Amino acid sequence: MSTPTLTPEHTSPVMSWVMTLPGSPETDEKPSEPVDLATETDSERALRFETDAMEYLDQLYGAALRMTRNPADAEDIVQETYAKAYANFAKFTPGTNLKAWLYRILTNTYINSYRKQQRSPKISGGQDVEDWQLHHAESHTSTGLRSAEMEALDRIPDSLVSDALDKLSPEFRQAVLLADVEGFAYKEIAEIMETPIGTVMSRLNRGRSQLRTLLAEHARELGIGRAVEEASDD
Amino acid sequence: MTEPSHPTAECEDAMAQVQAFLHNELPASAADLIRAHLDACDKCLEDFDVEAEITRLVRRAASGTCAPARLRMSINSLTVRVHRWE
Repeated sequence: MSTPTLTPEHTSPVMSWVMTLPGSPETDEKPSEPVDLATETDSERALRFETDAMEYLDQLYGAALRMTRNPADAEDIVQETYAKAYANFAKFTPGTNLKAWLYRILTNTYINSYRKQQRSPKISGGQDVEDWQLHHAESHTSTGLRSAEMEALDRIPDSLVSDALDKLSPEFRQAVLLADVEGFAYKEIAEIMETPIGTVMSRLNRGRSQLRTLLAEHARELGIGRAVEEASDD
Repeated sequence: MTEPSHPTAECEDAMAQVQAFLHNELPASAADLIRAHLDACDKCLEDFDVEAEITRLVRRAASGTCAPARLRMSINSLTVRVHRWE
């Protein structure tokens, strides 16, 4: 990745935020001791699993909870994920991205054992035109809305953000969460979701675009709510 | 700064890549083109700021979940058996 070249007078949040972005998860990986899989005993492997895999438990449970939206089901798929991961841990290549490997098992477990049973109807994306195009066209015609939108966005509570995420189709929601919350690179998301990278990008773009539309509605309601309050105070 | 005919084709192009830009997924040359565009186009910069803000909101809303202690114990027991036999 290149270092962003910025002019000093840039004070935009985007610019300052981009500067603080963490590196890709791969570069964040701690350098691990070389492991000789051929001579490693079961006990050593168990210990390595405890040391390396358990640190992702909270994150995986959080992800499972957002997939299933039900604590009991989330526990079940995380339990199954760890059982599979442990059973196959000898096949995991040390030094590669363990977090991505675990997320891939979690995703497979969810799709195979949970979503198939549930047979919930897929929530459709609803729009055939690229959503960002629609949104961009709209946003540019309603000048002045976005500064207010930005201010109101800050006041949206986490519960409303979670509700908005829940309204996305599972594929869109997962792409957004893997990129924005877990910080996976697109290549890793493609592996986790077992789709081409172009599909990852399309899901991200459409998921984020729908999310923005949903959040902008809330933000506008908050803005209007405050305006009404202020007017009645006068 | 902003052209009256906004959004231009360049704006559409920048907006199509907003996510990849914010996720640091663009090649250096493409990212430089976007930075140059954002320097010149306030409306797109504002749009990018809203997108970055939404990323922060999503991250905030989706973080901080802790796995139940029962689950942790049950997963820990996966490896306990092995230790016992050694």
